[in-house]
Amino acid sequence: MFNQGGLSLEQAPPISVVLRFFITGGIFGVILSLFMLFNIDNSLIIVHLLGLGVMASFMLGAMFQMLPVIAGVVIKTPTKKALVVHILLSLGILLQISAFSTSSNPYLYLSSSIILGGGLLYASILMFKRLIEIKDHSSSSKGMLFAISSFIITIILGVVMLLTIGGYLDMPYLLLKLRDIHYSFAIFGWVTLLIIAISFQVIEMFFVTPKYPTIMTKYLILSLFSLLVIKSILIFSSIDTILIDITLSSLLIIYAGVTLHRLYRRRRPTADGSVWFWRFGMILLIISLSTFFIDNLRDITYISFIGFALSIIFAMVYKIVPFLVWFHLSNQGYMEAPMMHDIIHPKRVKIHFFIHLTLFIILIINSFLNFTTLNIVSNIFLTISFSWILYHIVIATRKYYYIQRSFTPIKW
Amino acid sequence: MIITNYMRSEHRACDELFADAEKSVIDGDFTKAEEQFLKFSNETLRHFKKEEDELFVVFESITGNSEGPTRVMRFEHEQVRGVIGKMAEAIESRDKDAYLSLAESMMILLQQHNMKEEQMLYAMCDRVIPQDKKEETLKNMDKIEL
Amino acid sequence: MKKILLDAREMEHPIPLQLSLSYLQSMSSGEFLYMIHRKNPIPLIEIAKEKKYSYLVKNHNDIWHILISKESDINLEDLVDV
Repeated sequence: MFNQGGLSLEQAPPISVVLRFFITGGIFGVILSLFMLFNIDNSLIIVHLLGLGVMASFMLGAMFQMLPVIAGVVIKTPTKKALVVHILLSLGILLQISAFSTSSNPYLYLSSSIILGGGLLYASILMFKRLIEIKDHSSSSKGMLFAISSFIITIILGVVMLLTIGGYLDMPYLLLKLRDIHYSFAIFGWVTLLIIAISFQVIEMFFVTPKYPTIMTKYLILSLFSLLVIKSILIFSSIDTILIDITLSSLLIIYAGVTLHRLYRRRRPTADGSVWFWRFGMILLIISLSTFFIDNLRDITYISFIGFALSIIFAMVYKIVPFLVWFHLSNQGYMEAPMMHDIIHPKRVKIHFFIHLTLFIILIINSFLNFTTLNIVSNIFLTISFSWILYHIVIATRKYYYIQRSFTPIKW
Repeated sequence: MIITNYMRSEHRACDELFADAEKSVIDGDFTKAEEQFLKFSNETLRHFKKEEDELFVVFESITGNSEGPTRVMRFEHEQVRGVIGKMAEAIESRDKDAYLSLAESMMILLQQHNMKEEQMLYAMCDRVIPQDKKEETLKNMDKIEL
Repeated sequence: MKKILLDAREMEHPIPLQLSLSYLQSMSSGEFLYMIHRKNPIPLIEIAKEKKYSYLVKNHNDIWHILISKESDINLEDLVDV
């Protein structure tokens, strides 16, 4: 018989580990949209609020949860480690934003490079070390290893750039090249490779689809990572990277097409909100990469890539949060554990999908029209979108602690 | 463990009936599906009735607690009953997509519910109910009709 | 040994985990769980390890066969179908 109060799931981290990052991601999302709404037009700030505040927060939370489950990797004392990363990340982002907005104070650059870089490197090296110890790699765990490696490269380059701008390192002539490599690894390495790695596992698991072709699960991530390394060398040697970019984009478009096809061939015809987020995300990825080479469509490339990453993040959050709340509570022995659809109702997910869909359609249309009114409308939609997900994560968290506080678990 | 074993095997039997009906719907054989779904819903509702009219009553009288776990289980039964009703409508109107979509919610709902009962409630019943009373309860449950 | 078969290949997450855990929990020592799945269910194996159950995981043509028993001296190799 199992232990008192249900299972002692040592390999699954406590729910607070995941939720703290998800809530933080939501809060940074709302901050980001307020920045946009009040027309603070500093692209460095916007990009980093989005990339670190929103995306890295959600993705690190998901990694803490998924590493044990997907890769069988155990992170010891996860609560403590997550707390350290969480504090350094949140504080670091705020320092970095202040550095970017004042731009003249070297101490802000120094402190943000230490705190933000330290927090992120601590988390990523921790995960990297656990992942590299795995003997029996699945396509997902291997993919995560490459994603984390890309993240480490991104962070190190970011720290070097912060220190250079702050005047602590003397290599301003390298700054533009470092920036290009930094963004390449952040976008195509960390974000994209992680999403691909996760999709290899969860598309089949959540939606019962046919398997991805073996050639894809075996070689896609490795090829993309190798292309990124070659691309960096070319950037460094000031050689044109167009051939690499074309290959990279083609591979990703094929991946997105295959994923859409998997989702289309589901055994069950139902499409919950999260399937729609995945589908829309893949369509946006295709749009983003097919406009990559057309200079006057650059805005669409960026907008749709951001839409792609956010779609997948939202899809995952809406699957993970209700499951975790229910799973932890029922394993602790709470008879009162709410059903998953009572934690975040599928209808609420669908509504968010329509908000998200409308937002990105407006953004893409307005990249041609450039109407101020549409700009304001899209910023309002962005604010609603992040507030919506934040609200639902917070409600789910409250339900979890309410049940724990108000009822006695059954032990036997 | 006789309560757990008895009730658990009923859960499994219902799972199988459910899978049969779903398979027929996927194959497009609605006449067969209708028959199988009826079996599933009858067995499930009968199982609920056994719990609500017998097992839970015994449990409540022994523990003196009717506001606790059994209340939650009764509430969840209501949710399942609701979905069964909708599924019956879908099958009547030969709506494959609606049926399969409801089937998915049903499966997730039912498994969450069953797991709670098997992990917690039945185990508790097996612990707190005296042996002779358990045997009596099982006999009474066998007699229950819809 | 009585086989409790759980074919989880067409079940959506998290149903396979829910079912296998509830089978595992109420399984007697004369029974063993035979699960067929499209993924390697790491959490389930971790729990089996933690509980010191015997287990066997086999991948055959991309389908995972997972056998778990509460009996410690049992040769699960003899019971696997592939």
